[in-house]
Amino acid sequence: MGRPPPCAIQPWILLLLFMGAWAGLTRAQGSKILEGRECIPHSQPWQAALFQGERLICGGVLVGDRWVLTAAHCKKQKYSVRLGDHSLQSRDQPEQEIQVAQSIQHPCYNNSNPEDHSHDIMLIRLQNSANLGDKVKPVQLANLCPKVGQKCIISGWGTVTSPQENFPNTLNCAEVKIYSQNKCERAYPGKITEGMVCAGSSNGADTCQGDSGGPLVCDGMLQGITSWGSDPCGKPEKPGVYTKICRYTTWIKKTMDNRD
Amino acid sequence: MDPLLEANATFALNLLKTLGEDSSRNVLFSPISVSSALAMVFMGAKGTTASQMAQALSLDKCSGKGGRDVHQGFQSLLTETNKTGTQYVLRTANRLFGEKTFDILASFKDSCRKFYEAEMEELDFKGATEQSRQHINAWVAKKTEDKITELLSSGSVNSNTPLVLVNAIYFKGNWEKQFNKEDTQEMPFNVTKDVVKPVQMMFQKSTFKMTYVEEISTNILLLPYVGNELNMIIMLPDEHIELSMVEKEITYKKFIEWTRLDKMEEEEVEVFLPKFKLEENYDMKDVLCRLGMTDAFEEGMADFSGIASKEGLFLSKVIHKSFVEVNEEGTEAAAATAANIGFRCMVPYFCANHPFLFFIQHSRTSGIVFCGRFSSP
Repeated sequence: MGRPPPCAIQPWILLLLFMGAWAGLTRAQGSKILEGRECIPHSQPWQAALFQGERLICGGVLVGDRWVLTAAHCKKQKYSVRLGDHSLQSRDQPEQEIQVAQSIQHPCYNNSNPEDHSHDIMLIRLQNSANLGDKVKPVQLANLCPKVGQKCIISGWGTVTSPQENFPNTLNCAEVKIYSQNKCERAYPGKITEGMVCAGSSNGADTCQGDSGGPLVCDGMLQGITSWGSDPCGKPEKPGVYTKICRYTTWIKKTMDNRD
Repeated sequence: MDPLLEANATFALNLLKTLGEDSSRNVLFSPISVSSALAMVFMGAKGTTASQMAQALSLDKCSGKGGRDVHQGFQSLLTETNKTGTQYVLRTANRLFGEKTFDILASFKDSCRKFYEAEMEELDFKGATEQSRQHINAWVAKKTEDKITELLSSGSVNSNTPLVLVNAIYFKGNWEKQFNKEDTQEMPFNVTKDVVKPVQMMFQKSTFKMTYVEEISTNILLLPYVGNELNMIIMLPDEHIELSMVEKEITYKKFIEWTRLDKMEEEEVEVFLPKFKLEENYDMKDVLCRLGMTDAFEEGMADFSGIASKEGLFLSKVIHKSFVEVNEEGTEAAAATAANIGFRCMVPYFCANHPFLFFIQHSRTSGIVFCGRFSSP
């Protein structure tokens, strides 16, 4: 087990200072999401964070004033949603924390087999409506599927290095491109379904642990939900895998309409 | 709900709060063991002595048919917990030693054997004090396979000792999922905000039952022992939460609520757990007095006419010693995560690098075999 304990995170912060300098030369390791950087604060106003007590579980995406979309594998018995957040440790003005009223996993999601990554999508109904504004805003669902090569933004509070974990305090963003389904299939033979889309970058930009449930946004439209990928993260030939929103738009809208 | 189990658990938590008042000290005791030993003495108690003992042991709600239900309940509980053929090592030494000149009633001796799997032994404390002490220590050592020696220290009994209750218990269990010894490494343990000590920290990443209780800002992890006969329940508060707050909040009802299996989620967890041996020795007299059991320890006040018809019998000592070893050993190697793909959620980690409570619970009966607090390596 090469993974150092997360509670000994301090020593790795020191290492990161050197890695940060080194990365500028060789890009051998990520620096300030992998190969990302701090997002411009509140530039992703749909970004949500799922919390169990004070523990970050996953990301999420605001899709309605009382609806958050996330990954099905992020479901917990009791948890809450934070909206309008940028720095997890300081309470910003637009920040809202709302309890989860109901978690609705996609009916085809396989809850009992963690090896099955299919239909990894879930709607969360909030206990009360979010106060919408510039910094808390639902994202539009894609009505068309993403195009190969299309540039997209991924975001989250997940680790910015892998396999060693280092969790940022602020929301991180990175740019990735949509891979073709064939390229995706070659990267993960036999594991890719029509409900998945791959996105990656030649520089290793990628989602990682803690980013699940977060958005893959292309031209302002939600195209993917962070789901799974290689371990360690950040291998250009092993892109991140996202739940393909365009395949689930009907289910999402029907579910939201039925329960509003 | 079994009233005896409730009584035992309530007593356990009361004892935890009392024994654990000094938050810098580790705590370890066996609730089933202490309860049953005292209940044995309770069999021979009468009048106010009996009612005080019932209260201290939380047995007041169990009374029916003159307490007969209590003793049959213990008989079943002990039979279940101590049965042979289990895959854990549990060695108990449970005996009442009485001054021989008191002429212990044969009926009381029979009841001890019948309900509590324990013997009542008569010794010559008056005429051969030191030999009596050595005899008790030798017996305890033998019963615990030399795990517990020198239970009674020099000078701890004298010629006016009429009754000594001895209770010692040693436990060693293998995990259902073993830890890999190669992953054990030295890590800092935050005894307090300002005091840090090194500890050998075990590690494994496996699927376990875990839950978070917001009321006390505490993660609860369930680690099964081999065959799931026993479980270790670990209560670890968030880093900035004082464990003493958790101890204050805990009651029997809350303990049951917080540890309900259907409320615990099975999930992959990175577990960091100190490797430790805890060994604690308690003279229970002060603690039991504070729980209301006072007459039993006072000559002239105690009424143990159910033990001996001769007057003047009182409890001099109640000694409880327990020993628990926690290490990497188990039967099932944690499935070497050959998986090089996975979901990208936060893999929760359960990092016991600051004080925590632990309970070793018997799965079938839900009885608490051990209860403790790890405050400091």
